[in-house]
Amino acid sequence: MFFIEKNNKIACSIIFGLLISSFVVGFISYYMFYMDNKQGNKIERIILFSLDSCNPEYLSPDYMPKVYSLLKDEGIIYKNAWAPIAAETMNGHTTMLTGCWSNSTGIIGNGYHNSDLDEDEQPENPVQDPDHRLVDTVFEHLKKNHPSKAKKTGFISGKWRLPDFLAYDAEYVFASPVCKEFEICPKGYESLVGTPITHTDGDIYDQWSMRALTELVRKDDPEFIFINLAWLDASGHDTGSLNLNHKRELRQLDDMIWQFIIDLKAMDKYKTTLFIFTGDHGMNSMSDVFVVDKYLEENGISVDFVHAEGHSAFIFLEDKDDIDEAVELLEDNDKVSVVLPRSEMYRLHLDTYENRTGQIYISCKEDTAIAYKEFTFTVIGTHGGVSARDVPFAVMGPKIKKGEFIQDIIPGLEDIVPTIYSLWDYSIPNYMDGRVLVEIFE
Amino acid sequence: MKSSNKSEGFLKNYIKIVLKPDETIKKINEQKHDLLESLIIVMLSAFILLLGIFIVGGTIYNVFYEQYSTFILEQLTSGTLFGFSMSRYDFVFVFLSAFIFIIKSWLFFSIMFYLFMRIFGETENIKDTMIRFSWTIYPYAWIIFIFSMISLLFKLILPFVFHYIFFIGLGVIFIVFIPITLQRFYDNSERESVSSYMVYGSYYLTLFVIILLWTYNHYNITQMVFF
Repeated sequence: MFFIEKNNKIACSIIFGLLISSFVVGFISYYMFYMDNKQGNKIERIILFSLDSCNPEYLSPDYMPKVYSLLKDEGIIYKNAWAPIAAETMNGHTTMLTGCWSNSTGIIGNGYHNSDLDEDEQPENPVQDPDHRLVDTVFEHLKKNHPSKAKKTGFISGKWRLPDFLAYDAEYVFASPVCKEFEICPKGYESLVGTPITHTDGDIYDQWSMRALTELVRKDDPEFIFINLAWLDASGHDTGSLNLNHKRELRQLDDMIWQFIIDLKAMDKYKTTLFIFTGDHGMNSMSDVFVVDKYLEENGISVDFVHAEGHSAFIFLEDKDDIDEAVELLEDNDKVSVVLPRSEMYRLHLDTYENRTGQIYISCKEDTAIAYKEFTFTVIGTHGGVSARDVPFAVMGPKIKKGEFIQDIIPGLEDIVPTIYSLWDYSIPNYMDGRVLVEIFE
Repeated sequence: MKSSNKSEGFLKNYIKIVLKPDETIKKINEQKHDLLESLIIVMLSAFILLLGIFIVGGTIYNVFYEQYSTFILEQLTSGTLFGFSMSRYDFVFVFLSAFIFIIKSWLFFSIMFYLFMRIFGETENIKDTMIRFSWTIYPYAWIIFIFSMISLLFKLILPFVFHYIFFIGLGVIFIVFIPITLQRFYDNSERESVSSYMVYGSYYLTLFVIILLWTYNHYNITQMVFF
């Protein structure tokens, strides 16, 4: 017995008391100071969360219980939204930040093959040159068209390749050290956020991105902030969809967003913040590969090039007269779920320049990725096709209905910018393809 | 622990154990100690350590807050799993909860080490283990405090990486210096000699368990290590 001495008894009592108070401190700080979940009527800032590679079911009580429960009571959740095809990072985010479909932006995936150019002149894959983009982003449009009512904007990107393509004219840019055009963070933030840890491809871990978001709101508080949380994509590719590690990442994401909301309440900025949660595309676990050029050539069709994007591929034929025969062959293949010749690409808003799309678009089933020539897959999770176009969509904040779940309307990522413009009472430019999501307004 | 002499020169020992460990540990082993004194050491150290972190602020404060508040043991014992937690800007509450977290860490370290020592067949007393751990780990707080003040300089000249310097320093103390100090406690005691392998083994296994528990809620960073 070691608790016999008086001092030991006192020590044990103090330790016990401290353990109890650990619970009490958390309880008091949260429930006494931040109990009020109600939003006000004025929107002072809009935060667009892009959960990279997020299926609609991830935003559910099973995987993100804290954020889901808040959205369920205080906001609007759609059953799902549609990302543009091919369901990839670059065109998903381009649509999200321009309000335009792929046929207007000209961006049909992470890259494209320009059939008018020689091999050594091909665009970088993924696309990094903003000249390849045919429309302005919300940041560029605000700067050009609303200079008198200028909004301060922020761009926080977990993905290394987004800023160089989309962040121009955003006032505060937080980017991966791999990024060529932008510094890691704006001046004054260096000692608050530090250098981020990066994934092998250069993507930043989410904890850093969320730290940057919290500090940005606290310090300069822009009126529009876009934040991409990239680690879900990295973990999905590395482990597959809803692998145990992927679920761990979702749980951590849930905690981080929850923590940010608590920090906002402490700053007294929660009531005036409008939150939009969505993703750039979904994520599937793959178990099969379809080598499309080999298949067509074995059946007598000559292929010039195949631009593969996960489940999707844009096929450039040697002879355009072979289109009908190639379409028939592809439709007969069990691995392929969607086949669109050039004349029908408008169905998925892919009818941009032919030198980018080729003559045939195909999308495979959710377990099958497309390979060209001897490409070897090193990842388990993939996306890119029609099966990965479903993303979550939820809105919460002032002027937004509370506690609704919408099943019968499917918004698109192109609807985000027009809806934001409508909330700001700005006229919506004619070139935008999206609509205002009027059903969410109070 | 020997229990013949009264505890004396408490603060002197607290400072000197880091500078002259052999001499001080010998002295400590000759004195009588109780849990209250150990608790005071831990609380004093928690205060000094947190003072340094709060004074430096910036990324060191942010990273410290993000890591300790999402540690599974902290979540299990502070109500975070029930949906409430505090803001990083509630500095008083953060200080209080981190203060208690450090005390919890003392209990956890001691219990895990005690269990591993018993598994390895050593006759160990939980009270002595707790006292030994309070003297082994926590006096390093004042070194860390000095390191925090040096970090203020790094904050000005290397703002992007100064927190890495701080946390790597913290890691080196836990991985290299603390087990050596702990072993000296056993070497200088009058009890039957304990194998170094058992002491180092139990300590590093305890660290390993702590890292495993940390990985539970820190996939973002652990993915960097395992993939």
